[in-house]
Amino acid sequence: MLQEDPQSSLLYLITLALLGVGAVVWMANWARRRAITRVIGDVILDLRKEAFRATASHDMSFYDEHASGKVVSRITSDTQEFAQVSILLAELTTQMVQVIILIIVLFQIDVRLTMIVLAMLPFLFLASWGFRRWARSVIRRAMRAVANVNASIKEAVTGITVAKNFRQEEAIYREFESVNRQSYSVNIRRGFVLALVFPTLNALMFVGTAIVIFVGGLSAAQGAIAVGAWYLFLRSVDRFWFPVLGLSSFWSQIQGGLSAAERVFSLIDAESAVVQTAHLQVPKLSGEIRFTDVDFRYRPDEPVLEAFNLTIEPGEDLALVGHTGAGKSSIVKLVTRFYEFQGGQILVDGLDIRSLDLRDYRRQIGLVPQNPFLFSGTVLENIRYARPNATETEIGDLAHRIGSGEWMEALPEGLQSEAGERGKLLSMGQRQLVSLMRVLIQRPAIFVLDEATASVDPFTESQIQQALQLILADTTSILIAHRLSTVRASDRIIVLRHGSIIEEGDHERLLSSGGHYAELYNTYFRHQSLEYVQQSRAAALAASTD
Amino acid sequence: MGFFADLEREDYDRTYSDLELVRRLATYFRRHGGKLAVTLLATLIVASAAASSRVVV
Ligand SMILES: Nc1ncnc2c1ncn2[C@@H]1O[C@H](COP(=O)(O)OP(=O)(O)O)[C@@H](O)[C@H]1O
Repeated sequence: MLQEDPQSSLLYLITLALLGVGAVVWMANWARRRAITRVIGDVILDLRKEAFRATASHDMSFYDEHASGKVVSRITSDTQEFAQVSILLAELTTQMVQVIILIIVLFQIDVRLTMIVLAMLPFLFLASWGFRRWARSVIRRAMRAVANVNASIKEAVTGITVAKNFRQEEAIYREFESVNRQSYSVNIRRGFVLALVFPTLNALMFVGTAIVIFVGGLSAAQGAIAVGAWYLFLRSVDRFWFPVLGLSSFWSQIQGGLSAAERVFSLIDAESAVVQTAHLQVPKLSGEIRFTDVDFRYRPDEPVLEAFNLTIEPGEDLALVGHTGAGKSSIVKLVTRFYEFQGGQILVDGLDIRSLDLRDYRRQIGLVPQNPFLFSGTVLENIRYARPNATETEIGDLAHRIGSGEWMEALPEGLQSEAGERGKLLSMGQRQLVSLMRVLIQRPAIFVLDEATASVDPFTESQIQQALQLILADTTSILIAHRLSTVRASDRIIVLRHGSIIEEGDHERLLSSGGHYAELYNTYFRHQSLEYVQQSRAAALAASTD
Repeated sequence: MGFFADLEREDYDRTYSDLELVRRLATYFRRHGGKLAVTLLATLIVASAAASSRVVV
């Protein structure tokens, strides 16, 4: 039948061919989107990995100075923004290719009209370029606002107990409301700016089409161009504008993507304040620490330590005491190499602290911060943190050496008990014990303790002291002491005021000399002493019998 | 500015030129050269089909 009717066979052929083309286009489109999704997903994965790794390796000073919620926002929201823009960019590339093909087609229809159309392009691009700076700045601000919202949520969630304790939920809510509002306003403004881009470019295109209609109509009337060709040209030029419009209006969004990338790269490139001059392997340290004329400040105009000298002998247990702001933590931050100092020298076992391989060095430092941090996971996992290959029996044995293991039995499932997020399923005292156990298992050469101020029950207290004794026996220790028992357990006490050592010696001597230490003792420690407790009990008793 | 006052840049924020940014981003994309080639080829097919169908039909 097909042979009999060449007309209809051609129709079949065209239809079939079209179907075939449709199938190929569908497949190609599918393959394209799949590949794009994959590539962008992988790139974002890499970016996040790198940003996270960089963040994790930043100094403590970085964390002191920057809200962690904002940092989180860079790693999550900003990379996401970049991903969205990348997808857009991929679409744009397709449109760009279309534009190029269309230009070729248009040229074949009529050279002169095509030239007119192309002449419009510089104006379009100029206009988009003009929007560029503006768009970029509103977008940057919008992203910072989002980071503020994230930071506020994070702070609220982590501080919720404190907030609830002081019935400050309303205040937290108000603060959130205010950053959220800010983010809203900034983002609306961003929307407004972007909303201006599209109509402006559209108007420009309208002018372009008008010119083409006018010149084309004139030429057709003069017979310079066939009416059919003019019509065909107008139809195609319409298709031409669309992707070009897309190209230019997406431009501002591309700026958004670049801003996001910029923020992520800034995070990755943030320079470490702590700079090592070499990466010497650190031998097993004996723990001698020597500060020679050390100058240190957090801010250029506020010196904290000036020409500070201190030698800590191997195995010595040194207690630092002084009022808040005296510089106790600062000394510790320098020993742990969390902060860079500006002058002088710090030697550990005679080695310049700046020349050591930091990972190696920190492995030999056991640190218990004031608010011991536990990771979610079991108690066992937390204790093993510094030495993952420590066996359970080893840890169990050690646990039994502290108060014959009673603290462990107090836990619902012993070492297998869940610590909860930040250790919130454990009591304060238990958290301190776990963090001390962690150091015992780590077996560091240098032990740094910023003692918790929270008082715990006497039973846990005595176990904490036992754990502490075990650590002190094997390490050079620097203790920021808040407990009388800890001060007494130390070999030497350094009394600090405004970054200088004003007294040193042991407890008895310092107390009898009646200086700053005696004053501190009366303020902070005396009420913890046995004599004091007995005296006040006697006084209370006397009062009640009166 | 008032209301927007604390939308300050962080002190570690830097400004990179577009060229720098694009170059640096390109290093991430370059690792996926194969897939990008597939994308380009598919894009050519889709775009030329789309462009020509506008004119033909
Ligand atoms: N991260 C910081 N940024 C700026 N100044 C700080 C920082 N930490 C501490 N300071 C200042 O340094 C001084 C010493 O503080 P610090 O060593 O923390 O004292 P202490 O531990 O004895 O309470 C104080 O005046 C304090 O305000």
